[in-house]
Amino acid sequence: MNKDELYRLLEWFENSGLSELRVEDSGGKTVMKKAPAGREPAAEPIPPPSPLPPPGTPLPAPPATGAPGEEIVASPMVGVFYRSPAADAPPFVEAGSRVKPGDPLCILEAMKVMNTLEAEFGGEVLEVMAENGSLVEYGTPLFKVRRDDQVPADR
Amino acid sequence: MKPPPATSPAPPAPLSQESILKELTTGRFGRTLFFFPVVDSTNETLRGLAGRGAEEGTVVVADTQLQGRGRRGRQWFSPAGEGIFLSLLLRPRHAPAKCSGIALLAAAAVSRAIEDQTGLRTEVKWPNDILLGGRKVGGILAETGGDETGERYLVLGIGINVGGGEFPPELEDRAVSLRMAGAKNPDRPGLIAAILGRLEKLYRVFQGSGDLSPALDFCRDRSATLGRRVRAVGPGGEISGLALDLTEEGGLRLRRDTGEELVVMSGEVTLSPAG
Repeated sequence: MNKDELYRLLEWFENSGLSELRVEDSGGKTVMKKAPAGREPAAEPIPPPSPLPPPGTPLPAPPATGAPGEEIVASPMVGVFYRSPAADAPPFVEAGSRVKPGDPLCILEAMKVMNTLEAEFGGEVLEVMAENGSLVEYGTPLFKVRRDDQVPADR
Repeated sequence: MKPPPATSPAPPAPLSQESILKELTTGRFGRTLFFFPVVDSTNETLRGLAGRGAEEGTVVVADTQLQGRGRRGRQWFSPAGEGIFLSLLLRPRHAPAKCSGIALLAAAAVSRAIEDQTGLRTEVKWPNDILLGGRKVGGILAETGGDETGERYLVLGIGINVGGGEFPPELEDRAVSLRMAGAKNPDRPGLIAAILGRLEKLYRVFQGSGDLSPALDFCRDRSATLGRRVRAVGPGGEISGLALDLTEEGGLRLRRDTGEELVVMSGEVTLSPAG
């Protein structure tokens, strides 16, 4: 997760009027809560508190940072992680692949929208951290990348 | 489903750039329009244009596709002269997690446009299959990408079986065309213009405030899924339950037999037989 994506999501949460986002599947439950900034709670009745996730349920990873020069590319959304553009196509990247900004890394599918996740910076893919075809949450680490340029490319 | 009549009715109206533009009522959608008799895939063609900076609302229409695709590279049956194969370029300003709702927005627009144009009442199977009598008449494939400046785009591909009455054996039980379902002389240019008109209205609301509710309300009303028992097959395995509602983001809320409620955001949903 880079700063831009994090800020975009925060902004969306703030503007959405949502107080809570619950994502559950057979693999576990994830509950995200955020008090909408500068807003009264919605007029609807407040839902009862959601049950706690069972022990051992992974919560969304915070935007992670690896060793110096290494960055974790985390999922910006809930979806299914695909390493290739089609079932019979080769993966976009493998451990050891060189990527430049804009190169596709993977596809994240939610509601049949195929979101291509592109590299934000150039570097070498050190590790593919999620399994092809698995369900990933917001913040799930997907790739570990050693970036070529350690200066943050904030624009 | 009855077989098509022995005496074929007139073929669907001819499709051309001119015939579509004549019907358009939109402000931007389809005003830049590329028509091709044949392409590999309208989505692929439009992605190429998007990557070179084409503006929001740009549309690619083809009379036939050689490599029409569905989800995960599955083929989409694209016979010449008998379908709508259309891709629309969007540049949503919302975060990726939010943009998945565009799948339902598109389903609502297509379903409504079909009804406007033909009087046929379609159903929407979550998230975005368009059904007539339980068979698929239309499908939607959305793909995102980034252009050379890093700006995000979303290509919305829409396929509709318009004319024709013959599907390959493997699709026979699952596919239907508007004409097979009783539409007299379905008019492709008019239907394309109607789809773009409906899409533009719903998308304008979404782009402004992130609000999907007009589309969600329509999808709820025409849902083939809600109130039914469904099986959702996803990476976490299989989940069965009663489809309760759509969430604000367009997810499908299920109640399992254990009473537990959960929200499905992806996966293949199968409707269990009624009862």
